[in-house]
Amino acid sequence: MIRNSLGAGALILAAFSLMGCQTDEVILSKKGALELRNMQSRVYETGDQSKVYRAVLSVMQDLGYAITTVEPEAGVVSGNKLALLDLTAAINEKQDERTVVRANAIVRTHYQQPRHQVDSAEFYQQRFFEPLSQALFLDALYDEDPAPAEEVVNAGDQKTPEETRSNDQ
Amino acid sequence: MLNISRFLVRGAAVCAFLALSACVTPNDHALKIGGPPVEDGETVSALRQIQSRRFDTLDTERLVKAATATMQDLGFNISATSTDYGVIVGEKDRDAIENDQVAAQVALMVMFALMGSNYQAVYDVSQVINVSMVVNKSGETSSVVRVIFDRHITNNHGHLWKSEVIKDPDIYQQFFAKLEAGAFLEANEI
Repeated sequence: MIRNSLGAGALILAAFSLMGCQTDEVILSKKGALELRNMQSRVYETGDQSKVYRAVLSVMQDLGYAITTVEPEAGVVSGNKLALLDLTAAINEKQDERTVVRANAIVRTHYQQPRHQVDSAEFYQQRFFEPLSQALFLDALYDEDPAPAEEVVNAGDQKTPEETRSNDQ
Repeated sequence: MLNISRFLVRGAAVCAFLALSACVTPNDHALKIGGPPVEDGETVSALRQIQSRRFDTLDTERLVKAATATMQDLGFNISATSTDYGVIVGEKDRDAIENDQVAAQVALMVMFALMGSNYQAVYDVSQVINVSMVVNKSGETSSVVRVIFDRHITNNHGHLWKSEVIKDPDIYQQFFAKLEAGAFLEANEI
């Protein structure tokens, strides 16, 4: 009796685990580039990029990220949290003594699940830019005149499955 | 009749559980796990205090060198550094077998076998411990070192199945004691 019901349960779980197959590919957001940029970018009125870079490091440590890559020459820092959530921040100079920070997060709901680009404005606001603004003692402004599209350098892979690409087109 | 109804109840429970877990979107999950690693009763500033020490020097390079040596002594492989920003990142593999956990899982296996069924024991086998350290000047005369240890645990089926930020103050105290000795400087609480 127990064997039958446990066997049935095992079959259901096996089916679900096959559906969530192990892959390092990232499923990118289907939201528009402008909407993504708005939620992922903020401008700070300081020309001191070094200070902003240090603040990002401090915020990532406060949030419990293990730093995975640090490339100050490129203004990039990445961290990983609990092997489930990757966050990359790019800190760049903007005209008029300002600094723009763009964050990109990739998450999976479980260790053997596929990775998804995070496209929640609430996430970027609450889990990154608010603490960053507090660390800098500066207000975060929206990037009103974004520069031409730049690729955010990520530590992980960002290959899109062919099926997702063809859906967008 | 009794067997069928018991099967249906168990099946419904499994399906409800799976349906609920399918309702957690990646964005929801990111929001949930993206906050500071503090639980009820813990605070961000208390965790920061456990993970940080102040050293009476502005020579951050000296601290970075001493910390690199300390981490290597502790068996970490250094994977990324930035001397300008005082960042050191490392990792090491370690056995994660805890005898109590294994004993409990084996006991469950035996119990199920006696009942004529099968149970797959699952327990921790190995872990990767990550260390991230950042050194910053603080004020006119001192520097603050903040270090975070976390670990990813793999089970006996070869799957990564748990991860956590390490919050045990003793582990951080041991690290800072070694760093103090290596840097010939006293570590103070922040």
